[in-house]
Amino acid sequence: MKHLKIAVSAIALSAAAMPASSEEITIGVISILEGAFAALGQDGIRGVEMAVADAGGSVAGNEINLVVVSSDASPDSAVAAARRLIEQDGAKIIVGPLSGSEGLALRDLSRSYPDVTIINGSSGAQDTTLRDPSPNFYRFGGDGAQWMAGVGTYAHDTLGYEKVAVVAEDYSFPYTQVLGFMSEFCAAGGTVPEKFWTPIGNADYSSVVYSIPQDVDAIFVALGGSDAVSFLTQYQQAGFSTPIIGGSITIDQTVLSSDASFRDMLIGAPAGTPTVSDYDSPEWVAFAAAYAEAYPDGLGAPSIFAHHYYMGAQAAMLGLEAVGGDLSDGGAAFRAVLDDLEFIQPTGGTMRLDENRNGIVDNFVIEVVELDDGSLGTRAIQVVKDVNQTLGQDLETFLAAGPVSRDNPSCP
Amino acid sequence: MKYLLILIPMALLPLVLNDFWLSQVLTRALIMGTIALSLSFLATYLGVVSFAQVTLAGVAGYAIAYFGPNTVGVGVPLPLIVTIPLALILAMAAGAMMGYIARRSRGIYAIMITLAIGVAFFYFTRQNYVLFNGFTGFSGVIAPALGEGNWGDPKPLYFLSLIVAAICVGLVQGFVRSPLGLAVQAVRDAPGRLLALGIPTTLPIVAAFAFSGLIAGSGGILNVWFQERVSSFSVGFGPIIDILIISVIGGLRHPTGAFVGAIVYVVLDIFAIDLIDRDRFNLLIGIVLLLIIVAAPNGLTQLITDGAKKLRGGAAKSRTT
Amino acid sequence: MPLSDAHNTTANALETQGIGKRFGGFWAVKDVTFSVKPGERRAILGPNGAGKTSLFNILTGDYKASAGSIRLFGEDVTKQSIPKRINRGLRRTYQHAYLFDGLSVRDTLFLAVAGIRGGWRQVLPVRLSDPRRAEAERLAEVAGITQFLDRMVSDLSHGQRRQLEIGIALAEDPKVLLLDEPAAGLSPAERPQLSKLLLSLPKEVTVILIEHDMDIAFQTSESVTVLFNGELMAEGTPDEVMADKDVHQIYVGGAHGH
Repeated sequence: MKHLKIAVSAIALSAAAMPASSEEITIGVISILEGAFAALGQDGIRGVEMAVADAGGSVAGNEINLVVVSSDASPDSAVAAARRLIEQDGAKIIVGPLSGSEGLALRDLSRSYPDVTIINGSSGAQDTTLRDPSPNFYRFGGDGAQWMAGVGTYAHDTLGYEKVAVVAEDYSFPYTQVLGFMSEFCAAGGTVPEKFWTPIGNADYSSVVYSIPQDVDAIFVALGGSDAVSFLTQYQQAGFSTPIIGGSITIDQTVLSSDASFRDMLIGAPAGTPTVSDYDSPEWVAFAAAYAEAYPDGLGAPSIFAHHYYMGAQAAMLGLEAVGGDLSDGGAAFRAVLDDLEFIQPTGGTMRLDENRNGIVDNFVIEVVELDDGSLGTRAIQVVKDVNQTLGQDLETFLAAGPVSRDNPSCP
Repeated sequence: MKYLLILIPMALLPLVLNDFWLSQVLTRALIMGTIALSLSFLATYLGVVSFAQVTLAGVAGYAIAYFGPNTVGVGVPLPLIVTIPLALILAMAAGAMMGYIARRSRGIYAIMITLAIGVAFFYFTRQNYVLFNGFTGFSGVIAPALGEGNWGDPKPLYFLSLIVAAICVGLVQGFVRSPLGLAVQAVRDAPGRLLALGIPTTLPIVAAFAFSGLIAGSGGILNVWFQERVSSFSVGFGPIIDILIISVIGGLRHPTGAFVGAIVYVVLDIFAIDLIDRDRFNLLIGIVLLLIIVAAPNGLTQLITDGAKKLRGGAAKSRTT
Repeated sequence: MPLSDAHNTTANALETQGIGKRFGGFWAVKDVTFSVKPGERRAILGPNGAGKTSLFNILTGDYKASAGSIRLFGEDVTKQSIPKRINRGLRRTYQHAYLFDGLSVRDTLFLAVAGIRGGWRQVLPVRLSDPRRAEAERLAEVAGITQFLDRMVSDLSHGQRRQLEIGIALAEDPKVLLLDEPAAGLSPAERPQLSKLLLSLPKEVTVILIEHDMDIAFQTSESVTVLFNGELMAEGTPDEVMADKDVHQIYVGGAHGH
């Protein structure tokens, strides 16, 4: 009996929740709104909202209806979120997800829904678009390797480092970051004698700290948030002062504003990122001002997540405008527009895609500086234009090197 | 007979429901309910709350992924006729091993031990690349072919999950009436007394955990076909807590409670974000679950049966007066 | 086995030599030596804390003896496990109801029959075997609880639980029965019924009974052993023991200690 009641109410509910009327275009958004990433995931949503607001909230007379669903960084949750958006809310366009493993999962899922177009949020795993790409999965942005463009060359040629050890978390995104660093650094003649892979959320780095070879010129640290703070604290307390090179999520505000004793060690440390909060190009200044106006309670400046979700949603708006909001052909015309879309991205460069639908982007080498008030900040020291996914190499050669892993690349 | 009254309408649901309701709500609830059933079984009949049922489901799921088709290039593909029994046997063996480790523990100590096993397995899958492919895990784990599609398609998987769930409920009810099942309940009530009857308590405990591994493993296999993937995330804290919540809100009195809990949890999990500001949807889920536990300490199933009894009693009374 | 038959006729049913149990520095049972003949009915008396139940626990193997040895029909069982002693025919009941509350009377008796007959192997078959079920029903009849076979143990009255205890202990030909206060908590009306049940036990079964109720103890037993502070104080027929000065002192004088 009770099952019957549930079934009846289920039917009633499903009738009430039918897809929106034809006057509306539903865009699904997947971001992480719970757990450690919640604040960053929120910033991604802000990016989407800004792009929709830029388009006036509608395209060719069709109202844009945003449906936001949360995932929890796990591939399963991202897949469940996407299925809900597609099957329940009738979304034909999805912007998201946030993190690397989720992106790979949605790339796989997109094959089951050829009429749905998924535009990546900020996930940065390489193989999402490089190997076995899906025709309806787009990334208007770079991967973790592109986000390190320029750093390897800068470390070798400008800072004069010859030997660098690597300390990174043991999953796909840091692998990709390490690849981005090493492909330049090794090509320039540097060596990486040892790599240390640590679990996410590790608290005790003592075994790593004392295993790092004494004769390295620097350590490339691709750890996020609290992991970076733990490692740097323990490394400094052990009495070492080898210079640091940072990954794209290593030198973030938690690390910079931490008053731990390692702060002096960080001054001058380079890092790679696609988003510099106080970049002084007119496009970025305007973007940051619009962000601050729309979200007085937001972060101090648009984060990497607001920036990338904005670009994804902006591409969707431009594509929809080009087809007059018409997705009735299963989105084929819409995707044809996206394939050749070019637009000015918030950092000033021109966003366009390669044949695998991955962004060709501008990337920044930044360094940690001590500001006038004594606190730490970052400064862009170099812009690398037109970074493609193969980092300037020939696609065949790049693919032949094999999928990125703990042991690939290697130049001991 | 009374199960047919539930099963027949449920078998007809695909005629009226769209794929989203069928797969994302009902199939998911049936799969989570099956895994939760393995926990309810242990809690009700052995008197032990295990936090590692997701681990047992994960063992079966990983076995299907490792010995089946996947897109990560790890593992040894075997024929399906070998893979499925192998996955279930591994889940049962893992359950038996866990039961052996936890054989002297009850109450909070059993919770601690099973939680430790679950968390250790989670970290192990993250860092082992040979068997578990580390953080990334397995993707592209497609269910066996069926006509033009495969068993993972919404309707086939729904029927498969419904049948598996029904079989598991039947198995639990049969097991608790078997001699071994009686011994399991005897361990729950008076372990020393069973020993005094010449039956060592280790055997029923290990058997109960192994049996729970069979149930959880069945759910784990369905889950990997449903998600088409399995990774460390599938066996982490999140799923562990989800299964616990489902068992608690469903109630431990009756095996079907797990499924009532699962459907409530899944619907809440999917739609809470539509009902409330997206900053706070987890708070809403938490409050609703808390209210359920306060209003129905023995679970929703008990609340419903009590309500039905009261209604029937009231009706009977009004007839006589 | 002809050899054990020879033991049965010549050896005592149960025999202890200086057994004791120490908890830390305290001897709950100390240097107890006594023997019981096959078929004998023996009552064990003593005030609370005299070590009666501890003595039972040593005899059954629930406690490991700290000192001394135990022989069952001439065989040294001091180091044997509980199931082994059960196999040799030793059975007990518990002072506090220690039953499977969530099972029915039938299932409880089935487990008793199955466990004692063959240990863990008996619980492996998928179905309850018919001879065992019949045996369970026979035990219920002996214990006088046939009409409650399908009742949950938790729904039994105190007296019915006592009867079930004895039913369990009678499973599969016990040779030595240790009954720990079977009359405890029974109403005056229920007591004669228990005495009747005890008297109806098969003659060849050796019974050792802890009992506070003197009427029941003397009615059903031919010999008495008195424990005091863990030590053996007196032994003999009921009349001899009641004539003992020290025994008289603790039971009538009410002294607990020296």
